[in-house]
Amino acid sequence: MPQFDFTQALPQVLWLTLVFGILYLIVRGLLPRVQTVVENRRERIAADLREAEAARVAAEAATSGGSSAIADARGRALAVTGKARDAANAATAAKLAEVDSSLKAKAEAAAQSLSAQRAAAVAELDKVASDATVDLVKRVAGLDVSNDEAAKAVKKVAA
Amino acid sequence: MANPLEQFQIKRIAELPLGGLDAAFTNASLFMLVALGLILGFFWLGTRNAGLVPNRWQAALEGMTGFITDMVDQNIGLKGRAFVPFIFSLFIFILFANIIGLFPWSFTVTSHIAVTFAFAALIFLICVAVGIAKHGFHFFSLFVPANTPAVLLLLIVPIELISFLSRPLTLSIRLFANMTAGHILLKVFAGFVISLGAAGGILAAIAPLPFMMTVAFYALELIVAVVQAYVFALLTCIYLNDSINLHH
Repeated sequence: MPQFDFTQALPQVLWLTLVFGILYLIVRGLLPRVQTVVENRRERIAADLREAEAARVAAEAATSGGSSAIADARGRALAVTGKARDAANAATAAKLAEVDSSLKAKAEAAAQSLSAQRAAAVAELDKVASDATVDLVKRVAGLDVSNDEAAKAVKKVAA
Repeated sequence: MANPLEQFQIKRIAELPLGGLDAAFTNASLFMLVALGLILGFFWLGTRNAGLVPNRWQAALEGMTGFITDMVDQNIGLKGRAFVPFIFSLFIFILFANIIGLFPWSFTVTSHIAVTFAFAALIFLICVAVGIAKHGFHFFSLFVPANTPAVLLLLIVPIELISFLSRPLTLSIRLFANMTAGHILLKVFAGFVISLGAAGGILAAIAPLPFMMTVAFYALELIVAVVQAYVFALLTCIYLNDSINLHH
């Protein structure tokens, strides 16, 4: 196996020392630069994320402010419509009461005039009855009765 | 059939005696440079036009660095941040070397124990140095688990010591063995395809079977290439955690 021919080991080790030494020095110079770029990117991303989070919080606050304004407006609108409804109700009730009372008055007047007419009619009826009685007595009995007597007799019978 | 071990042969491309040391430029050196070049290309693509919104290459690079950083954070904690460049370098070098090794005619740098042991020894030394620098003599309490009866310590301490000292061996052999075994297997099955085809007749008819095996193994080897790089980086984190935080 050529690997165990150690007479060839020294040149390999010497060249390895040279090559690896160069590589190590270059890597030492290079790594911080690469890490700086990575670090900058990480910071930038973190800053962007913070900014986005702040914007989100602000947006959320704005939304909740808006919704409270909407609730306010709704409350006010409800109050206004409620007041209007109450006023309308009151007006209707007042009108109804007015109409009611005027109707009642009319009805009472009508009832009064009706009973007065009825009384008049009843009185007329009595007169017709007494006239009819006078006639009836004259024709049947040939007696002349005065109207007053006839009226008295009619009243007696009707009572 | 081609020798399945031939692919691991170190080929000396140019001799380079460096003050008496043998620093020959070999195919291993070449593919280490190829890995380095591709990694730097990846870095270039990943950091050019780096923007707030990442492009594809940038996302890939940032995903890898983030992956290793998270791994270090989870296994060591924030005190381990200083080791992120080291562990990231280990991870990406082993990852690229493993994957480059899967290309035909390439050479797998991490299939050589010289390379994997060099890494493991470096990690071991760093662990010991960091442990002693952070905790001084107290670092050796790592071998004495808390609340152990004194009698058991006679047994436990040597076990802990051996397990600690064997870490560089297991770390290096795991990577080397995984790479070597996988590549040998690929080579053997691919070799079957050729020999069966060349044999002709009924044998040639079954040649597609090892071919299908080769394809399946190749997919498996891709996973192994990534997983081994991950395991190597993860174990480095765990070992460093022992040195930095000392708790058992």
